[in-house]
Amino acid sequence: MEVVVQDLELAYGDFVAIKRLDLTIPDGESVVLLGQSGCGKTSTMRCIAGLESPTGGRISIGDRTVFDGASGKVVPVFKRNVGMVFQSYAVWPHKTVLENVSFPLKMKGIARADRRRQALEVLEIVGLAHLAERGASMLSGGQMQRVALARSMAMSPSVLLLDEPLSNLDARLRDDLRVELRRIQTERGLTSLYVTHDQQEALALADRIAIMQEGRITQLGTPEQIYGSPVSASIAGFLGVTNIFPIAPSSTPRSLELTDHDIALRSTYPVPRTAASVCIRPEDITVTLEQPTDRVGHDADTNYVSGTVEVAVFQGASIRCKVRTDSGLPLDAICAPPAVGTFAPGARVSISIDSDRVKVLPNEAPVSDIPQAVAA
Amino acid sequence: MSSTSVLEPAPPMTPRPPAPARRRARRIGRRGKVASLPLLAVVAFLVLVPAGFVLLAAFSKEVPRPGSIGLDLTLQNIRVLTEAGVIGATLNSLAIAFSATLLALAIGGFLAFVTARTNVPCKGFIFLIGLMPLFLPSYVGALAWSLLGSPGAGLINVAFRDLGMGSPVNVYSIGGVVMVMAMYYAPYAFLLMHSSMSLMNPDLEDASSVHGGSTWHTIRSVTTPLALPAILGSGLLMFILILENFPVAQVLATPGQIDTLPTFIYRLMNTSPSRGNEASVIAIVLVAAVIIITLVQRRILAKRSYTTVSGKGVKARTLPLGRFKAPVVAVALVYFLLAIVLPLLALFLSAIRSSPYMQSFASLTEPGALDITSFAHVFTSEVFTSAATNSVIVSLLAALGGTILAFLVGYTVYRTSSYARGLLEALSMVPLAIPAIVLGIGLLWTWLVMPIPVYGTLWVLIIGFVAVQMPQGFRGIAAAIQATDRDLEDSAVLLGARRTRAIGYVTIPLLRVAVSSTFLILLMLSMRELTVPLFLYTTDTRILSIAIYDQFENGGALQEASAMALIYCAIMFILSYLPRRFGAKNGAGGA
Repeated sequence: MEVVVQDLELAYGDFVAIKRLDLTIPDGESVVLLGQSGCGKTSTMRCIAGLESPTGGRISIGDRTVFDGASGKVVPVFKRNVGMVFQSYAVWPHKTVLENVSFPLKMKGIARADRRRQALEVLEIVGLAHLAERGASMLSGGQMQRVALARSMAMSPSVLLLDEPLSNLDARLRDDLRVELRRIQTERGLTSLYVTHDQQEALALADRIAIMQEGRITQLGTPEQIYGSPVSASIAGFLGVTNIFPIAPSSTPRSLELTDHDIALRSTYPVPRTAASVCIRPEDITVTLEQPTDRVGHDADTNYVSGTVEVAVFQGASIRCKVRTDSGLPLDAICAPPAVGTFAPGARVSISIDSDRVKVLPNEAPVSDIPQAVAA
Repeated sequence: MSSTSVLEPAPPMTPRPPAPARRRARRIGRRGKVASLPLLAVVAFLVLVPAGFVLLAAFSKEVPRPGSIGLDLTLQNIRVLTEAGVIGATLNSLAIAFSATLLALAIGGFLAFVTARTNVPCKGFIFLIGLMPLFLPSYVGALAWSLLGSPGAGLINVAFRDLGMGSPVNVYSIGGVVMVMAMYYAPYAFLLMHSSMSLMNPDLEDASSVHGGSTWHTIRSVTTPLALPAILGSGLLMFILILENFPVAQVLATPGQIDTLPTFIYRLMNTSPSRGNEASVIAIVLVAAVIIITLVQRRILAKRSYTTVSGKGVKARTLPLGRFKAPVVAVALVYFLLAIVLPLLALFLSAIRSSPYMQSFASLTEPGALDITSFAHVFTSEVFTSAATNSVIVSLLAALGGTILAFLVGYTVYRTSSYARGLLEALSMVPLAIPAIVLGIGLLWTWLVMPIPVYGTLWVLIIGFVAVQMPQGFRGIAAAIQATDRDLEDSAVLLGARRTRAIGYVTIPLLRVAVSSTFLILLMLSMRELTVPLFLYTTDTRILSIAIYDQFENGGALQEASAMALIYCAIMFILSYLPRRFGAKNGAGGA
């Protein structure tokens, strides 16, 4: 069911964890809240679940308002029909897998035989039906994760909340379960809200991503939009853009002057009026061993610089290297291995960056851009 | 107080929503937060009111009694501090506590090191030796030692006289008190140091030997400093326990005309006319001393991190003893003999001896000198049956009440956002800082004054025990609550269960080991407590510890008293054994 959060605020004494947040999760969609730890994403989720009491705002699930600061209405947690998969799984170790999964059905007053059948059906979906009678403390991390998911799904939740569910698993299992989760979510049309600090996970699982910073949602969009056009340098940094350098206020797109380095770059992006930075993805920097004919400077489309390799790491299909330009600018690049020779430390290289790959973004998303209801 | 500031922080550019909405929302939050207040009232009443009465009595002309709590204030009572006896008692207390702590640390540390870190033979048995005196309440040990080492009729002296060597032993002396205290408090040092030493990361020591340190150098410069927090912690803990110990001092020091602060307080209370107000003044001095030491202990321990505990699977290095094996075992056996074997034998002998007086061991061979029927007499005697019944009722109810209270307080403190959680936790720990003898006096006055007719019934003992044992109960349960992920319970609520149902379905089953072992510990503590009931019991409400103490004090029924003490020890042993047994069986159920 559709979940609508309006003007949500949560404060602990002086500390405001969530600042006037608006968010809509359309029916059947998967929204991922992506942000660093402490940005308020888990608090937002716990407010929807009812485990935290917001200090203001409104939350509705489907047609039902579950929290309204203005009228004082609060629907207690156990009546909200919200499923939640915890980071710690929270699978009850003193019960069997089946007991865990049939618990919500028991709470709904479903007869024992039906309970068992329905629980087994859900366990079938997550591929654990054969472990139904096993004690839950005997399971591996990945299996516990599936039990937690099955338990939440068994209650046919109005919305499923997932709090960094994969972060305690090892990398390989995480990849597998990520695909599995996405399959179940789309197949069953689950309305879900997923919290993570891992951009890969967010990109894989979301219909839409909401970037959350310091208690606010600073950008909301499809994974493609978020990845392709982050609205601020800090968001870009969070999405894996490793080359971020502040620019002087006097910069123009033809000549972006970096504040800390004596070098000017060229970009096709306009320069915002607020404090801004250039952002360059490491994949967009081309590094080649220096030839005598190489140019330095830039033409209309491309920036050319020469520099030295500091360290290079072979990654199979690509090479990741740290290079320093002659003017002292450190750059992080991911590029194809050179056809001839190697990027030995100290090797002279020429570096080129297309000017349409040099993004100029404000350091922080302007507060007025936050999607929110305009107050009278 | 923090909730008012919710209104304050205003992000500059955003207009504020209308205020009423906000205020309403805060009120909703408040409903759940006041849940702690009734609990706070109960805990404060149990602890602060008795403490308050003692404080009041110290500055009043009269002690609290029904109809008057004694508001006639005066500073005259403080003059008691200049009495010659007070200075002497203070010095005795400090001297006894200091020497007994050192001796107990030496005994406990020696046994801990030997069992945790060396290849001593019969390790399991020596470990048991370190633990066993715990099962013998210290005042039973003291009573047994008064049988063994009293200057005239003590069994050891009788034996020496039989050999024609005079009577060299006198436990009615500072030395005797120190020895008995040290022997029965050594297990605390043993337990704390044993866990610290056996969990010590061997890498730390290996690092020293790899870099050229000899074995003894390593022990001196690495092992000992690493164990220091445990040594200091257990040392200060024992210092406090010994300083405030009343029964041992009463049994051994009083006959030798030696006063300690607790016995001095007791004497002031029991002289006729009672000098309760002056006793209160000294009680406050004792409390102040205990609080200062507790604060020092916290400071010292807070500075150190317990990095010796590095997780699982650590096998501490063991030191080959070589030719020291035999002497080490011998030392352990001597302690075993003095702390356990001789006292129990003395009790047994005096339980089966038909005459309370014995000139020499030879007289035991006379016909009719030994009579095993005293045990049967005890079991059927009115004194024993009523005291045992009372003990069982009081201990079971006190343990039950204490466990429930501890769970409620622990849950409120660690799982809710109620007001005054910190205060609640602090109040629960207050009894640690108040010596039993002081709390006993406070509880006596409290329940004499209260209009509820509780004094003179078993209920006053139950209430007293719950109050005294609050810290032990709280710590046992709080640690388990903290170690259990709260998501486990929250998930049940999300899945449609009410909070109370979720607690019953998830939290309590997960905590059952902690809850049941807390129950058993409180049960055992209630069984062995002597000082507090000494002020609260009446003729009809004697419990086992009181009955034994009384019979020994009155001297007449030495045979029955000894038999009863032995039976009592057996009960204590079973009770101490149960938690281990129980804990081991259910140990796998953790989260």
